[in-house]
Amino acid sequence: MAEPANNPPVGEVRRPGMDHAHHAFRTLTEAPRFAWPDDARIAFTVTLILDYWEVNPPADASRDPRIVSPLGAFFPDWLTWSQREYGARVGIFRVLDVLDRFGLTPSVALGGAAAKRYPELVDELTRRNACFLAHGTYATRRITSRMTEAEERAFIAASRDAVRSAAGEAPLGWCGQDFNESDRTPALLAEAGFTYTTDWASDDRPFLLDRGLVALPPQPEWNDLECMWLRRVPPAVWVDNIGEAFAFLHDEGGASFNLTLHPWIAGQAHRIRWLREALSRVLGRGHIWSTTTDQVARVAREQL
Amino acid sequence: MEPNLVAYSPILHRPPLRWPNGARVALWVVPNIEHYEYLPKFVRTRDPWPRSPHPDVLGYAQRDYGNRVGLWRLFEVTDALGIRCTVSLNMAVLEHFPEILGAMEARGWEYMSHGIYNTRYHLGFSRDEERAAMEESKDIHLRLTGRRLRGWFSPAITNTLDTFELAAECGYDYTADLYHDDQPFPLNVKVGKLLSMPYSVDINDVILHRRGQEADDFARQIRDTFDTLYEEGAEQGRVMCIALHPYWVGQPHRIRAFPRAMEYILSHPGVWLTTAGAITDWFNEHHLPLIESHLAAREAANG
Repeated sequence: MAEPANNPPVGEVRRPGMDHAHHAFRTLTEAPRFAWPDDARIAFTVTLILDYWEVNPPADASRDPRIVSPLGAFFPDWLTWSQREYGARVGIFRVLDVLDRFGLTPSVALGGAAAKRYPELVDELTRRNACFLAHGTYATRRITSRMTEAEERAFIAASRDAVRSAAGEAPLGWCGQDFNESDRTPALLAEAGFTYTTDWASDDRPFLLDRGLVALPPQPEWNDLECMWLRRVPPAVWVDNIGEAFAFLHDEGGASFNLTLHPWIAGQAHRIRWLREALSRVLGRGHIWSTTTDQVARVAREQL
Repeated sequence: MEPNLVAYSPILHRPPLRWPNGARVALWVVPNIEHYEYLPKFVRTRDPWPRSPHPDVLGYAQRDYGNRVGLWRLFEVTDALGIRCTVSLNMAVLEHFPEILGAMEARGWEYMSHGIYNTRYHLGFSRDEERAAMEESKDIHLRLTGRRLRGWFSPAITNTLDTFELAAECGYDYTADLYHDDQPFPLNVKVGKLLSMPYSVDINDVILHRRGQEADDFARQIRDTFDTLYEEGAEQGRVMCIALHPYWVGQPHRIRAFPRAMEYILSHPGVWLTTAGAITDWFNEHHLPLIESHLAAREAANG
């Protein structure tokens, strides 16, 4: 990747459209109102993030600098390691119990290291017919433009293969660690056999990226980490956000609604009741297509 | 040397400002319609995407949401309430997104330059670099709207010590970069004239975002601000600014709180819902001479 210059460009020519080639500009007024199965007004999916956070990542690994312990950034950060491990040991069972009660099938972003470390969880999720998305290798290693093309291609293949080994089928969906990409990522994902990615938060409705790859918006505004952990929005307000956003999009029609959860956040004992509350607000409405990200991407692709 | 940009003038010790028709509050509503570059072409003092080596697809997409989705929900709100906005505009938006230009022109909105892109900070700019951005903004505006650009609002509020002299030299009528008052106020510039127009970095949705607050908090702060300014406005006119970012306020969980707050404000008599250009014209014609006399008298009395 070319490093940015030190001086502003002179005589720059700007053309209509985006300042990159991954997707076209599309306004809300032009966006399709997707026709979901059974005349549903909205598609609803829940994504669980299941990854492994290294306490001692390699020196060249790139981490999201926003994620630090509540007491600050330090090394070794066993505090954060163990808080996140709690999600895979304890929190996830609370989250699954809630999803079971509401009859919801999770979509699971499964990191490569987590796929190996947590086989019991892969079994639990497979029993529930979860769909699995590839999710990089470790929570502490992101794709960035510092990778060479060969490194990035190998990283994507390793992530895909780890999910295939654990779950038995190659994943169709890609959920980038911290939604990170290089400028090459969408094309490399298509090349590696993925049909959709949840990296692009630009919309409330799917759209097309390079080579027909579907962008299924992850709607980070009400993701538990972005909203409650990083912005410190109180859980009751998080629930209000989910309820109001869902009501508005249900009314607007033909949109998709994804709720992305981290078992180490939503599955904490004091937060689990708020997840129940959020889901009861969402599912209290009719005409909802409650499904997996694989299915939303498939149906959306036919209409794009 | 410490600049002497704004003469001190306590608000209760200056000639009372009277708005047209005895209005108490002049209200301008300012959506920030911005574009953040996917791969910023230059970085000098501050990295616009510090979360990641560029690109930062998460940060980019969250902001692009405003132009694709949020703005079009905001149009429905402003249409229903009859709000003509003054846009804080990254000028490149007009070139990249003719759909947005057309929709704003159809509504008769007014624009002030918010620089070229919101990822091009002016911190550390030479005079020539800063002047070039101001001149290019004027050129883009004239070419695509046929009108003269009147307002300057530095991108991401990044300034130099020369910003205000340069804006006056370039022929801008007002700037939204300073927050020292509830009324417009003339700035001490050597060439031309430049008015400070009270924008808000407090009644501003992205500031709430950083504080972990949400749309109901925003609506409450809008109403509380209005109540105070409306009461004070009985004695002398005040300016109220509501600063919005479509990528924030246009989210589905937020878009309905803003019109509720606006309906409350607009249910009051004596609210002049207007634009920065109209405020500037009224102020310069009716009040600026009084302020100039007041400042001369104050200078004579205090040395």
